[in-house]
Amino acid sequence: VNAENDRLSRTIAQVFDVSTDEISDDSSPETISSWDSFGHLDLVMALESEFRVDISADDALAMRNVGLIRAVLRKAGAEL
Amino acid sequence: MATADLESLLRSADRTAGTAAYLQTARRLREFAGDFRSCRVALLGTSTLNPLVPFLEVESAKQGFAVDAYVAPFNSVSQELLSPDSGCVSHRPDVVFVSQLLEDVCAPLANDFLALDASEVRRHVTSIVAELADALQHFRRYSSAVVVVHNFVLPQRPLLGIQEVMENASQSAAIRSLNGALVDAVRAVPGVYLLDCDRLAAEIGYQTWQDPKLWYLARAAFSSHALKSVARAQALLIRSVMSAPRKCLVVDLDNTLWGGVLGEAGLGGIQLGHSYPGNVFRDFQRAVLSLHRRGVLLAVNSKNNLADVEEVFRSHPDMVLKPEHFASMQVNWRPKPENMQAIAAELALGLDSFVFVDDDAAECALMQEVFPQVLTLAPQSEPLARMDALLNSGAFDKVSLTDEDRRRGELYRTQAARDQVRNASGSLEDFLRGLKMEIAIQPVDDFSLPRVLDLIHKTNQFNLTTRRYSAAELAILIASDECSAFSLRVADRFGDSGIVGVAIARHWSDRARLDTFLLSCRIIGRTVETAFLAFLIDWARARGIDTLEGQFIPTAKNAPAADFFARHGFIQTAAASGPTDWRLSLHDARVQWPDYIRQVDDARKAS
Repeated sequence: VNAENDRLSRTIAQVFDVSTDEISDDSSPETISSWDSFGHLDLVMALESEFRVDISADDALAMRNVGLIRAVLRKAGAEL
Repeated sequence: MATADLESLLRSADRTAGTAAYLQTARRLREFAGDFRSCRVALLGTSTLNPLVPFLEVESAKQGFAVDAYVAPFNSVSQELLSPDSGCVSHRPDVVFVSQLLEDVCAPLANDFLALDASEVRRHVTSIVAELADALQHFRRYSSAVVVVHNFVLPQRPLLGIQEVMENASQSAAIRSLNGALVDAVRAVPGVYLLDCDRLAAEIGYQTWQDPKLWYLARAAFSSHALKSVARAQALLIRSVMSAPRKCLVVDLDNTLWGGVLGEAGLGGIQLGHSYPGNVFRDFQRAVLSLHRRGVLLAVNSKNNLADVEEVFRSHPDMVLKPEHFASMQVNWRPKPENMQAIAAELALGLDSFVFVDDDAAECALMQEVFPQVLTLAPQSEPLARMDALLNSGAFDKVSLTDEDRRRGELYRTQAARDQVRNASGSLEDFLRGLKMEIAIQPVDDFSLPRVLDLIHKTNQFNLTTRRYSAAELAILIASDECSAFSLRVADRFGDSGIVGVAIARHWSDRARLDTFLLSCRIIGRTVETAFLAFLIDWARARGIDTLEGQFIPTAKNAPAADFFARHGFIQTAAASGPTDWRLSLHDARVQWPDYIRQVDDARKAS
């Protein structure tokens, strides 16, 4: 686990009120109960402020699990 | 509960914090709910308001409130307001926020504005406001909650581009006139106020106000920046409707009203004038003066030689503030908390009425430690930051401004003149006779209501029951047939004190009960209460009432009213610890209107 994962897991853990241990690339709305549609809005806003990037509407829709989130952040030019 | 933990928790969600920090802070704050006053809030709107809740929780905590929020179903504002068993009404909110988008209340104005002619625009504006006013009137019948209506935000992009500003018939102009009409509409319903959303949007930028993807994906109308800004404005409103406002600003002098240390630099050496940093201090003084004009009392708490300070006030050409703007000046070498106590005693105010500004971190820490009730603004080393800290604190914000507020500084000065007469004259009765008091007592009406409400919220000392009615509760009481409310206005040869007394009586066929009876502290000791009671007895007798009942509910501050009933011949009927009940038979009551007070129809006409 590298620093980038830590920062991403930490942000996701903060947003959904879960432990970072519970977060893997496969984590998704199916595995984290507080990741509902409102939670998803919170997540998008939190990622934008934490990684100082703009996430497009299409990318926000595409972020269906943590692995996909990382791909979106990379594409958006986040410091990973 | 560890206060330090709570403070660091709140700091973790300061203005620079990201959304994740806000969300986490909001969750952790729930463990501290007992440390805050609770406030039940309902959020009604036409967009997705759920993301607002954690931000509102954090910002309210910063103002001392634990918010219990109900978010109404999407786009159900009218149903929530119109139905007596809606979720909003059943939540029993203290404060309801109504946040509507133009396109949801009037699609033509928002979506196809340029197709409308001027008369259609006017018709739409009128009907939006009428519909809202009607819903608010309805809601008032079964809820006394304060309602805060968000006004409408100007378009992010002007439809006419650069021409928009020059065109009277523009969409921007229509929204401005709509917002203007809202001002009148909310004024017509008691306990309804506005939140200037358009102003908030301008502050952070119209382009930043909305996040298009949040809007198009989820109909969430606020960007993450806007959420913070709206939540903070809502929290300030919550504080100002739920608690008494701060009344007095206490300032340090050196490096606060001017730059440099007077004792070292001397009159000519302090920084105050037209170039940096003196120009900042001048503007700081202007800001303080504006607070004074709003009714905030001013006081000085400074370690200095009084003679030096007096010389600055007398002869420095760039002093904006004058000695007459200050209700109290403590300039000496005593510890500042001690001076603060002296100011509180002099002005007869509780310590929780004060805001303290000082550039010195140690002085601020000391004040905070000795008197946590005093709001000590965080010390700033930069002069510019100090001005921001004062102006952004919102410490003196109120939901309404009365004439008495505007004149309060003057009122306290005439009080000082009266005290001098008291010291010079022999007996108390000579003093009272010399004042040539005139009193007007009138049923509470729309004109006096704001001031009456103000007194109900702020009077601590001469207050028999200390019942803090909300604007809406008061309106309902006054409208009731079983209830009469009177305001009392006093003028004397030194000036007009304005409305300084309130009595509310509930009455049944042959008996009446004093629900509320209070006098402003600046009128205590002038036997005005005896005159007020004599008036009430006459009023009661005229209605065929033969028994007047009352209750004294002791508080930490109302000792000055403790002997009111005994002094006027009431018999105590229940002697439990705590509140005491009293009764006066009007057949043998001997309460006389003092012969040195003249009763007039309108005390404002007194010379």
